[in-house]
Amino acid sequence: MKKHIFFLLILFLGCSACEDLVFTENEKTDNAQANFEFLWKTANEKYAFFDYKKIDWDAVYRQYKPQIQTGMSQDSLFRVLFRMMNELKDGHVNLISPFNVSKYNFDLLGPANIDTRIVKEKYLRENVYTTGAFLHNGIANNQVGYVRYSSFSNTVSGFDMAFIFSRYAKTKGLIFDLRQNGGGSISNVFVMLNYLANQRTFLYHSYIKNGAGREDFEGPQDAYAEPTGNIRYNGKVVILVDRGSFSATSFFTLGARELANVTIIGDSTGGGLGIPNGGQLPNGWTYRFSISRTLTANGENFESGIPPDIRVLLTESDRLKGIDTVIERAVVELLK
Amino acid sequence: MTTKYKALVVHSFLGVLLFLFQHSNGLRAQSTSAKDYRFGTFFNISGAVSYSKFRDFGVSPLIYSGALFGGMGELAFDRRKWDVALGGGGLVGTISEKSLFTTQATAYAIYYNAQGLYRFWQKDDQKFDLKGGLQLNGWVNIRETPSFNNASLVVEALNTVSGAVKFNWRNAKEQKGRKLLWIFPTKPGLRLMKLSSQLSVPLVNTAWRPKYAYIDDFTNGKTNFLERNDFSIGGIRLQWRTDFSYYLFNGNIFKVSYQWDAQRLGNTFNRLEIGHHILLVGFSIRMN
Repeated sequence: MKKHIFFLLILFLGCSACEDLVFTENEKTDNAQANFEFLWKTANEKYAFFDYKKIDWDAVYRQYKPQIQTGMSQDSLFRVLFRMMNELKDGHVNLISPFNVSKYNFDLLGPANIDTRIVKEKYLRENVYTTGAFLHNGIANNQVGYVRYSSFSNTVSGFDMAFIFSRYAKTKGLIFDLRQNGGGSISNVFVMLNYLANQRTFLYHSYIKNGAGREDFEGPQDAYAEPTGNIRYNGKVVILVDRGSFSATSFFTLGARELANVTIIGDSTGGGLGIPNGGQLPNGWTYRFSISRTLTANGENFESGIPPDIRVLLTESDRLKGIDTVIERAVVELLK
Repeated sequence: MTTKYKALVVHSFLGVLLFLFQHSNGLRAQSTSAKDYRFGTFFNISGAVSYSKFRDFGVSPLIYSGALFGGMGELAFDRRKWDVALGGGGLVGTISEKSLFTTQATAYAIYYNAQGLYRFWQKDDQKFDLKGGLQLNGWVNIRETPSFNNASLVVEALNTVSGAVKFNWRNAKEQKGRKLLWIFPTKPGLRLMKLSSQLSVPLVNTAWRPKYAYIDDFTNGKTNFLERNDFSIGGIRLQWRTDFSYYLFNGNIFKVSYQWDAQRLGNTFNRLEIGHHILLVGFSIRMN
């Protein structure tokens, strides 16, 4: 009997020790060198735009490695890694610590092309509606519907789109103002595009990284607008964008270009056509990189920004008069 | 919980189990025909608590651990020659990684098990026996880690065909009436208990897991798990389960079990390491 108890104990101890075979060495560390190497290597394997942006990531390694010192403070380490990540010049690249977040100011690549005070005072003042995430109003003697959507993080529903179409059914045109819309959920992009499309329309190809090599991509994953809902808008549509229109807004703009009745007006978008992918460093900080690329049917890559069909910048003289140059130009285009 | 403390807790638990098996007087005594009640068809239902660890190199080199809670159910055919079981259950809880700050994830684990074991050795009218055979079981794991931007959701299915060996030790003792733990009165009669231990080693280990890039939002606006994951074969998995069965007067069984399930699989870029230490407490309800 004692032999059986002894046998069971030995078996248990043996099996518990086997867990060390399953879980390999603990990689948690605050060591600055280890975290630098991990972040550089992860970006090297996962980032999707080295060749497009002509970035020599090996040279970046040689430049920043000497700045990593044994025993350096967490804040100092963060600042070095922050600068290294900004070499990618990508708004989808962030390093997140408990005390700081790195970011690249893509919106500063062009002039500020909207004054939200003017939009509120002149175009969204009287009889303004709030429908879901949309602020909207009739302008230009109710010949044009103006819809302000400030973030794709705010949910858009089919009901919202149907209400907009119904309310402005008798107008000559609709303006969707997406300036300084920094992006959000891709699903909202397709809710809107599916309502704007009158037929099944190819939008773009996407390719996602499937390996550590620079050209290790799989795809394409094709995106289509599939008309949905019982109500359609029969007038012209203008999309307003600027350098602050990033990520999901760029995806929306890229797709909207393929729709027959849509015109893009404003400044180039901020880009951000790579899907961000997150992870964690050995010291617990988290990061994200762009891990995919998106191309048009013609193979064009607009990661650095989608150019508008009509380039219009907000002028200082109009701003002082309380007029939004970009909206006024859109109205002219719609009333032609 | 440190490894040392965890080992102490589990060793203590097994020590208590073995002590109960040898010295417990039981809540009820069985009749002289208790031998007939050693086998039968049972529906097992248990509450479960697990200390679980996950490390998914696809998103993090750090180990996330914590307590998961849930339950399991099983239909068991315990016969002299055959031991067949079919069951499943689920666990849910919060796992976390504590560095200078804490990162948390919510873990859901759904488990199923099917096995058929055949007796190949016995002694003393099956006071001791060994049964061996095949086992098919697996986990569907869902982990949500909000901190991993756009890589926050992992859905995976891990399935294994194993070879299993189970040792059973059935004990029947005459007992005097006394008070268990100085509180619970017991009647004199024949006490029946069983201690079982089963070790499973993998024959075929499979995984259906996220590909190279873990993505929440796809660029075509569709969430399609079938496109997101890849199927692979390989890795290692070890399982060990010990059950202590205390037969009640009415033929049902009070059961306490400890199950250890650990596996490692995947490639260098998405290696997955999982370990569960599951404590189950429940009843086997006799169906025949």
